[in-house]
Amino acid sequence: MSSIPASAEPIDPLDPINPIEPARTEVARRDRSERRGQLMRHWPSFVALAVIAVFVIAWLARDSLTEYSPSAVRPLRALLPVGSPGSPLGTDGLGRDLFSRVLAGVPFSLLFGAVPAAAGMIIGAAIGLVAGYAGGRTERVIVSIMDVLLTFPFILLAILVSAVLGASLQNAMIAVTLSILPKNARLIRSQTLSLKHREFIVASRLAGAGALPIIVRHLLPNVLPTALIVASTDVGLMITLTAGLSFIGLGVQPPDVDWGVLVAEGARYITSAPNLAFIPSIVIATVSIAFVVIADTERRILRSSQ
Amino acid sequence: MGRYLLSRAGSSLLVLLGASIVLFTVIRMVPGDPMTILLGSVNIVNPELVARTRAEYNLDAPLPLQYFAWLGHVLQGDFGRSLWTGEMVSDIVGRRLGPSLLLGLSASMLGLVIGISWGIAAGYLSGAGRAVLRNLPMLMLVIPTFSIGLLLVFVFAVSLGILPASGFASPLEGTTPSVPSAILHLILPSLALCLVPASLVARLTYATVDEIEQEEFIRTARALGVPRLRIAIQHSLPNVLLPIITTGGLLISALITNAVLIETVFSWPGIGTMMVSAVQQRDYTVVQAGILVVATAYVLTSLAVDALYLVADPRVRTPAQE
Repeated sequence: MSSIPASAEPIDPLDPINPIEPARTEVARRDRSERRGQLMRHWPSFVALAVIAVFVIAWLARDSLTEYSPSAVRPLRALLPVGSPGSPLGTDGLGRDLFSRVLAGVPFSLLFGAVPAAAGMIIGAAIGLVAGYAGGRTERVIVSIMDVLLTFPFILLAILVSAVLGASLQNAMIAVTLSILPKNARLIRSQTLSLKHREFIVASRLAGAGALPIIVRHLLPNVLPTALIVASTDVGLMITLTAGLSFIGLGVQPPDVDWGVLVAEGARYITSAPNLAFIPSIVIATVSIAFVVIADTERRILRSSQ
Repeated sequence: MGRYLLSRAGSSLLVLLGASIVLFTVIRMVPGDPMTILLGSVNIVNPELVARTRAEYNLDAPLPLQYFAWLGHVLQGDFGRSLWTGEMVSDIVGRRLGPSLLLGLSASMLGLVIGISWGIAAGYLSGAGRAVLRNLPMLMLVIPTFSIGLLLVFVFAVSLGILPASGFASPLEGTTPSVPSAILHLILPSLALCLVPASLVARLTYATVDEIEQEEFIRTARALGVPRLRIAIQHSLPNVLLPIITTGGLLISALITNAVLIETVFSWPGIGTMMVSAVQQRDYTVVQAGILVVATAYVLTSLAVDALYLVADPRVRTPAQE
């Protein structure tokens, strides 16, 4: 009887149809003008990087950009509209300056995206490399566990972690990291499988290299480009996802702010001051899109170079 | 075929068992006496009830036996009492389940309809419309769902004033049960909730359409002069359903995760808002029950979707004789 190809390929949330192809490192030598053309193809990534850099630089220079502290309550300046002197983005119900609060959210929101994406990729890659290279029963066990966890609703995990360990930035990051592990492990495993029987791996195995050196020195560099691209997409997705956790009160806890907390606070003033909810929303979307654009551009270039 | 379904059902059961073991263990790890957790601080002073519960839940026995005693209660729908209100958790869950199911069902229907028609349009349109329709789903996946919910509230409730901003109206119960009011309250949350699954479905759909366009039967149909719309509906649509069913688990999972956010935006009295406030109140029994109920719903719907695959794909239903 025919088996059902329920989930034979790793599912990339942004591109569920086209599984990512393994990268090849043996790129032909190119002359200098061709190099410059190569660099030009990356322009969307540069624009996206610039957008992210603007937020980071604005945060670093926050003291000279605004005179208000993000937590300073000024009842007399409550609910100022966008474009008010001193508060270009307006103020919230307690008179706190939205511009300085958005800036105060930069490190939290970026870390909230980057740390889980990096941790999820490192652990996921380790699991995937081991499963793919080891094969046999080890692989079967790992794959079936990952298959089960792959589509399990992540929010339940986040709720459980917050219920037991308490709602905090750190615990939310643990839950989010766990949620992307299976996807990354599967992806790296399928990459490893396609590399495992290539000549250079077989050659080093015949030369007597052990499993660990082969994984670290030969397999890892070859799955790295894909891993970085996926991690970049993940940063974008994680920023949105973790903002959601903060929005329902399971992420960053006041008085700290990330952009999700700002949207939740702003939602209360949706009738009188919609800027309070929508400006942080636009910021979240802009930064996530920037990371996804980087991933998408690099993915396309990687694919076309094969 | 039957064997496939049976093995899927078996692994679903394993997932649920695993989830229940994790939930049981984790809630036992929470500091505090399990007696208080089972009875609530209100009833802990009643010595007779304490003794009875201790026996009922096998609290003097080793942990694995305690687990089976607890599982027995859960299977009968007894999740203990809320630590916050002292109310039976099953009553709370029962009250919250209806609104959540209503929202989930209407959002998935809406998501399928919007997603498939979006994807078909993106597959067959050309020019600017095609570019917009193909890039928008990607955008929808990174724009926060709760922001989209708030935007809908702002446009349709605050600015236009034509739909209620939040809350739930029961079509069956209450002082003035009214179906029209229930539908009006349902529109915005369903729309906000369906957009992420719809974007995923749209991407799958136009990718499948692109693939099918290369097939000979489509070229033949076109050569015979069959109108484009008819090709789309009669030939592409059935093929589009398969990849959607295959990624069903992912879609349901996305729906559940976003439902918690959307319920919060619209103050929807569902399981999602119940779990969120229970976390803030450290109401472990309610959290436990909520997670178990949602996990069960997820596993059962995924299983149903897998069964649909057999219905939708004749190649699987009647396997070739080998």
